[in-house]
Amino acid sequence: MGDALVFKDASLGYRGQTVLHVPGLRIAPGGITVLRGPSGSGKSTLLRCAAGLAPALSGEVRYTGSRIAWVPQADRLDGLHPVNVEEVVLAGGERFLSAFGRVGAEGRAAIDGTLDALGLGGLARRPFAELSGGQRQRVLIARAALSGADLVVLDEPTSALDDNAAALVAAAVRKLSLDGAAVLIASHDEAGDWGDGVETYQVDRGTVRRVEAH
Amino acid sequence: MDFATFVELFTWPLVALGLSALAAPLVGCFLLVRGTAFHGIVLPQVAAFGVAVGFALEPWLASHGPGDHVAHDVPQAYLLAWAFGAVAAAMIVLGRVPKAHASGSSVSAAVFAIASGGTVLAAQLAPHGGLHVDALLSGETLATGAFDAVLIGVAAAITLAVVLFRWRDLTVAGHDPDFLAALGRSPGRTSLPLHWVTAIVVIVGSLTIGVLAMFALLVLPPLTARRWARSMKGMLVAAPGVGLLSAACGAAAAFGFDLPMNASVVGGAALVSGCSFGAASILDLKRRAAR
Repeated sequence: MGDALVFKDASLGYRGQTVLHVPGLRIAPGGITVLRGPSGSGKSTLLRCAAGLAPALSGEVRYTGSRIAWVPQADRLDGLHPVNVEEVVLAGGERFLSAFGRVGAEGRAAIDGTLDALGLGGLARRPFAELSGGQRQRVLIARAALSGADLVVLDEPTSALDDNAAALVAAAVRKLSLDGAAVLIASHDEAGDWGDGVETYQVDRGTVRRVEAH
Repeated sequence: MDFATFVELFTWPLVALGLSALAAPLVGCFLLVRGTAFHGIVLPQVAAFGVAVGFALEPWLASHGPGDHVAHDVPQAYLLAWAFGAVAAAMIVLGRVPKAHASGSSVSAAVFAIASGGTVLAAQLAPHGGLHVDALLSGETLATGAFDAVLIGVAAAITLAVVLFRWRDLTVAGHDPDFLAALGRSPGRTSLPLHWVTAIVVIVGSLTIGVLAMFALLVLPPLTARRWARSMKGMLVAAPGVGLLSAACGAAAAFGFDLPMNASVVGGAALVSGCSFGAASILDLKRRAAR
């Protein structure tokens, strides 16, 4: 099986201005790739390009899968929408919905199973805004899982979380990769435990370089 | 006049008001959660501006157009077209001004100011439409007839259909547009049905039950429903209910105290919202005291 996502000699930036050069980056299906670097180094730019939200200025960005799930930092979502957990996790789960947006038995089982697996059992009807930061982040990961995505892109998922909450989020991310999704994470959390076999890339002075394989 | 006579005489205005009270809050819910609640004030005013311009230009168009024409006999379709053009232009401006140059609220305020002043000026220049525009703004809903009620019924049906079939997509497009875009679906295209029903409800509602009532129904019932909602679906179910209650209070006040219907609807919506927020405040105080 080939790589899910490949960057090859790609230049990324805004309005024609290059902020990051990616000589090479590959993510295999089921693999976790972590992108490290200080704030403002261009990690989010690379993530947005990987998710198809921004084009590369030049070079090659090749995605061979069928569905990408974007997982932002939970506190960046606005609080005006009074959405509950079920409404959030079903955002990409249209296959579980009828024409009127009703959830069938199969969908109900999938939602409950996914939430239980991520330690969110019983919270389907709870307003999203009432959850803790770690719970909201895991709800967004549940949304990615239910969307059936084969590439999940996470932007600083453990930022602003305490160690316990960060550990729960990291466990949720590992579960995504165990279920077969390719995972790309931007993190400035040096101590993040993303599991074994993680590929790490470092953003350093406008270039992305591979650091190590665990 | 007793209540039964009031209902019999003003059946169509009351039907139009009820249908508007169902449709406008649904649109208003999405305006509110997308941070564009002020559009509920701006767009009806723009619709009135379009109508006033239509009246102002009508004599010139009539004298340069084909066929016989009675200058003061202005077809509703003509006024709807002007209102539609004005609202469409305003929605494009409101949606496209880059955030780097001006905040959304300042652009909305500017459009509202221009539309308000423009309405007065155009009404002054309209030889036959000034009174109609005044009625539109101050709101004599009781002049609404069967055709208007059918028109607002169609608008309400379209709105209900869009919300019933698309509420989840519209919610995601507003709550997390990047998630939708990453899935390969354009948030802008996904939101198009919402923009269409917003224009339709605003235009038809403003020309049918008046601008004042539309201000109230687009803004206050969604705000009230939002305070109590524990889900987006809950808000969408509650808001039309609050709208109907507001309309009923307004109609009752209009009948009981012989007041203009339009302004009474605003009062009814304010009363319902005020009671809701009062109850919410009391509950909050009790919760804090219990901790």
